[in-house]
Amino acid sequence: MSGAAVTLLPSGRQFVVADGETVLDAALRAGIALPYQCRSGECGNCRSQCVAGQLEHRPGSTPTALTADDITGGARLLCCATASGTVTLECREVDGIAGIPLRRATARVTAIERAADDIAVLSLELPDGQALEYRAGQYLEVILRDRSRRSYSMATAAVTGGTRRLELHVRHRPGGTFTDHVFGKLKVREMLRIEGPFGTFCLDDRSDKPILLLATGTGFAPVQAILEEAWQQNLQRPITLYWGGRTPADLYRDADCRRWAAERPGLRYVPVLSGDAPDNWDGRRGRVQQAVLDDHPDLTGHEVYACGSSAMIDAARSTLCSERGLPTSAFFADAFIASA
Amino acid sequence: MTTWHDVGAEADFEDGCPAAVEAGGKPVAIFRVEHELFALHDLCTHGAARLSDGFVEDGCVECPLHQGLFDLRTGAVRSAPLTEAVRSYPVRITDTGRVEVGVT
Ligand SMILES: Cc1cc2nc3c(=O)[nH]c(=O)nc-3n(C[C@H](O)[C@H](O)[C@H](O)COP(=O)(O)OP(=O)(O)OC[C@H]3O[C@@H](n4cnc5c(N)ncnc54)[C@H](O)[C@@H]3O)c2cc1C
Ligand code: FES
Ligand code: FES
Repeated sequence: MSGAAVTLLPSGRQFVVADGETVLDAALRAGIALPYQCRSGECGNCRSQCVAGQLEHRPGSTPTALTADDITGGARLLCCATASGTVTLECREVDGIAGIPLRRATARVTAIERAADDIAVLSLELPDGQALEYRAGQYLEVILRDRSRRSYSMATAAVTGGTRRLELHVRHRPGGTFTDHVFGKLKVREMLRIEGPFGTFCLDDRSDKPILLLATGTGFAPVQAILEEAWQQNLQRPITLYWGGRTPADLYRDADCRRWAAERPGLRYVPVLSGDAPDNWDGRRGRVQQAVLDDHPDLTGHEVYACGSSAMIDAARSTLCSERGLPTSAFFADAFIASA
Repeated sequence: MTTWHDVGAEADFEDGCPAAVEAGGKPVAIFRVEHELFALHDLCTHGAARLSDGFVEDGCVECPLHQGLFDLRTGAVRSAPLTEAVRSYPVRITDTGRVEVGVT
């Protein structure tokens, strides 16, 4: 028999997986909004539990977000998994994303701000009459001339009905095809080809738990969008933002964060430096996940949204879940793969 | 008879940055590819999209709405969903570095 029949719990939704296709791709093709982000086994968003049938990580895939024990226990990453026969699995579905159209468009660069030596804040504008709908935390892909793609998170919240103006935060990776262009030749008025939105790194609307946002580097971009969206929706959940970098310049919107925290009673801001901190540094020292551990003896009632380098995400996931009782289902991550 | 209309200085038009101008009351999109400038009517023949919002690649402009391709030099159709060519205009650069578009 070719292909597999999959039933999702608890929703009972069913879809077919073709031979050689990942379960995640098949579900997205069927219009089912499963959580995912990196599509490469890094972020752990697409984690599911196999209840019955054959669900295996395909040869050559790298499901690094799971431990060997997780896999023995039946956990699988759907972006790495293929299925055969009849399969039943348990997986969260994402609210509020199903139905947002995927769109290809051109976007004109309207401003390039150097927020730090190696950080560019790009303002983009879609042509008149076009707009992109998305949830804060989602990303778009820039389509390069060789057809390869690079992902960047939208750094501002969308307005209802879609947004023409987008903001991206790009960190320079010397030797990188796209970011060398951004830091070399990119001009105001240049056109970029984009497609989006992708990803499901979005606030869980059904929850009322306090929120911890963890960011390193430009992992701050989706976090800023999530804050804006929370304010738009007048969200009442308390939010603490932990933003980590090596030097003060890495926290390229530090002043804004301090101002927001001063103005908004529901928001706390904890800047963390792991490298050289100036003598008068009034923030924390060390790693972001350590600052969270220090502040919270118990995280059983929290939700954590972590965005940035995969090293930070892996460390945060394992320590916060094993040492502070954070449920794995309350840890949401957006891994930038190459260290952000 | 062709009338030439000044649409800006040569330096105003850069690679990768299509520009919307007006020449003789017509909307015109100007494209630079290295040392050459091209001018097409600034409206897709397939729908309500401006070619000055398009992406330039391999001698073509890609319409922002459905990604149809027009040849920059002639306005000829290079891919679906387009079926009708777009009007192209002659462009010249004067001795003083001004760009002019010819409209008949
Ligand atoms: C979901 C998601 C969201 C993201 N959001 C953001 C964001 O908001 N901001 C942001 O700045 N980045 C973000 N990223 C990362 C971004 O997509 C790009 O990967 C990054 O900007 C590098 O692109 P580039 O074309 O410059 O580098 P590439 O050409 O892709 O190369 C990346 C780097 O790796 C090196 N490299 C390339 N190939 C190899 C190899 N085989 N072995 C060793 N080294 C190699 C290059 O020299 C370069 O330094 C995100 C990634 C993901 C997956
Ligand atoms: S989407 Fe599967 S691990 Fe990231
Ligand atoms: S409007 Fe230009 S291709 Fe459809």
